[in-house]
Amino acid sequence: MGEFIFNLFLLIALLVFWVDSFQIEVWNDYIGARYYPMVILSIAVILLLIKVIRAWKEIPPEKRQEDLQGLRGCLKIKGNQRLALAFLCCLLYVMLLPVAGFLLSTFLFGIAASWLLGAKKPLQLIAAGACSSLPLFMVFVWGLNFRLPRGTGVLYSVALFLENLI
Amino acid sequence: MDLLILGLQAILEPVTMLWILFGTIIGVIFGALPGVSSTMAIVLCVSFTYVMDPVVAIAFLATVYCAAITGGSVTAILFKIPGTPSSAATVLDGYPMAARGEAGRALTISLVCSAIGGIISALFMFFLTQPMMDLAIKFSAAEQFAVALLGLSVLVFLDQKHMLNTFSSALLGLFLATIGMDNFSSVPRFTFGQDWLLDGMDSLPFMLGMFAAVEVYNEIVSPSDRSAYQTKGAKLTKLAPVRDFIEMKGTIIRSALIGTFVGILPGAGSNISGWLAYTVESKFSKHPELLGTGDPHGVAACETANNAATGGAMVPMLSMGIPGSNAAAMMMAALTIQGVQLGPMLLKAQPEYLGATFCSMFLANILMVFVSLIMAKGFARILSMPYWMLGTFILALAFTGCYASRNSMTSVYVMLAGSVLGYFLKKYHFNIPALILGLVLGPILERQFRRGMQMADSVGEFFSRPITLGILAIVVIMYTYAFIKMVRDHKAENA
Repeated sequence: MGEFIFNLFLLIALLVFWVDSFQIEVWNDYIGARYYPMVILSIAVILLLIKVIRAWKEIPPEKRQEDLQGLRGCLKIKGNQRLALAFLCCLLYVMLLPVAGFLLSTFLFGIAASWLLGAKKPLQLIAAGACSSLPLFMVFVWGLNFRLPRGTGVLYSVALFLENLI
Repeated sequence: MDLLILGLQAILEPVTMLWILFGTIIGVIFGALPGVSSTMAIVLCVSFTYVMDPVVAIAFLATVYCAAITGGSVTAILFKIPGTPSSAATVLDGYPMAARGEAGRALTISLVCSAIGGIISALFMFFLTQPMMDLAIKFSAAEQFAVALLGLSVLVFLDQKHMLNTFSSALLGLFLATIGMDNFSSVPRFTFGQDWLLDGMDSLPFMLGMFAAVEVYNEIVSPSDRSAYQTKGAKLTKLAPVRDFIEMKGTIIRSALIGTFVGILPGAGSNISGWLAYTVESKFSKHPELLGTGDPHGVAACETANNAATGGAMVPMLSMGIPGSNAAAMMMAALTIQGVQLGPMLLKAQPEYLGATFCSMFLANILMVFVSLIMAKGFARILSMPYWMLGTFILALAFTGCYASRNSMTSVYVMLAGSVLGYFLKKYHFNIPALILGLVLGPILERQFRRGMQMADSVGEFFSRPITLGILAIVVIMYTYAFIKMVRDHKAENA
């Protein structure tokens, strides 16, 4: 059922894009701007339709209703819970980066990710956080002179200070 | 011969040799870091050239270029993170080899084959610059479109049992490549009014998300037995024996020729040469079903070709003043500052540059093997780290590399979205390498197709060019075979 739903979701998304492709402006000879992606989307929609139908047919009829109802409890499965947590961690990290800066965000993210990956002891968590933030900061900022997110407020000042340390 | 002597005289100075060694180390490190492409590596190293003699500068930059392309394979094999886009194809066979404990073998094969590819292309560059340029001039937009389409036909062999999934994935990749501002008419496509989408979908965040991050997510959901990696012993760092290379000599020579020629085509470069060599390898291989499962031939084909493209990219740059790749364009800019007159007059006015370029690439490719092997042994030992540390570092490195590639949070958002999408794509049997292939080749396909159609008076003229027709005939045969096989397999399943 999961495969059917995912393929259906992709099919709907591509159909939305296909409809949107009619809005692409066409100037003089530049018809390719609209019709090139439209052709690709058309073929993709057809293939995905076949996949959706196949995925639906692969589910025995007697199991379809049961599987649909089973979806409601999908987050009760431990693996799915961990996956959802992983996505949430990554999302929070990405949202925190511009606000808290690279070092703090990555340190916290490192702790969370290592816990999800099986680290249990506090020292392990802190080591993972440190090892995923400091070496990257040193290489990218001090070594390669890249500017990583500095954060805001006092964290911005701290980041600036650290960048200029070397 | 005189050119060779001039080049050797320029290179065999202690200071020049030191710069070449430094360039090799820097190039491999930059290449291994995701988000730092070979082009960026050259840009970062240009500032060093201000204090150099022009001959030394060209030797240094050529070295960085070669080494950066090679460095991308290290992390591609060990962590499934292609350090440079040209190493994306190496992941297909390199990572499975590392996963079964053959990291050292995979790395040796990739590094030595890269060196051989670079040396062969340097030889071509030195001796055949003019004739190769004459042939490359015949390749206009239509031919380049056909070559890109041929590169896409590797799909046929990526997963022969699930071709519907493979083609769906590739089409998804081709579609994603159209998001953003259209290059010809500058109209926004599928941006829904969002300015941050105007730059389009860079392939690197998707690669990092779909290759690296998805692996970590899978480990979070269901941890695998990584006890093999914990073994600290010779197995992980055991190098490939010489017989491996003797057995793969056909693959290496073939891929070197492909990479050299594709590298000459402006805009094609290392990204497409690796995939194209992989496609051709699937045709010539005695066991094509093994490709994608950890076949050393796959690693050899990609790495030989993508490094051979570096020498090829030098051909139009030196002989015509036209860069064969983005990295070559950066080199041109740096050398112009130095007063080097690239183009047809180079051989007459400043012949020492051609000799210096050849000798430095030759030397760099040899040095690169040793430098990379030393670094790779260290990288390989990282595999024995506990995964809660390694996986965390991989994720953090991937996000950081994404940000660094464009100095923008947009790439990070794209990587996050790509990783979530990639997880479900992989779970439901889509083919992620096919998607990445579509994403990488999509812009080239569209650009050359539309340019060719504008140049041609009619559709018939576009498709009737002899070289285009020949290549397209091969493509049609391959896709027809794939379609027939798909239908037969489906009937066999239902029977």
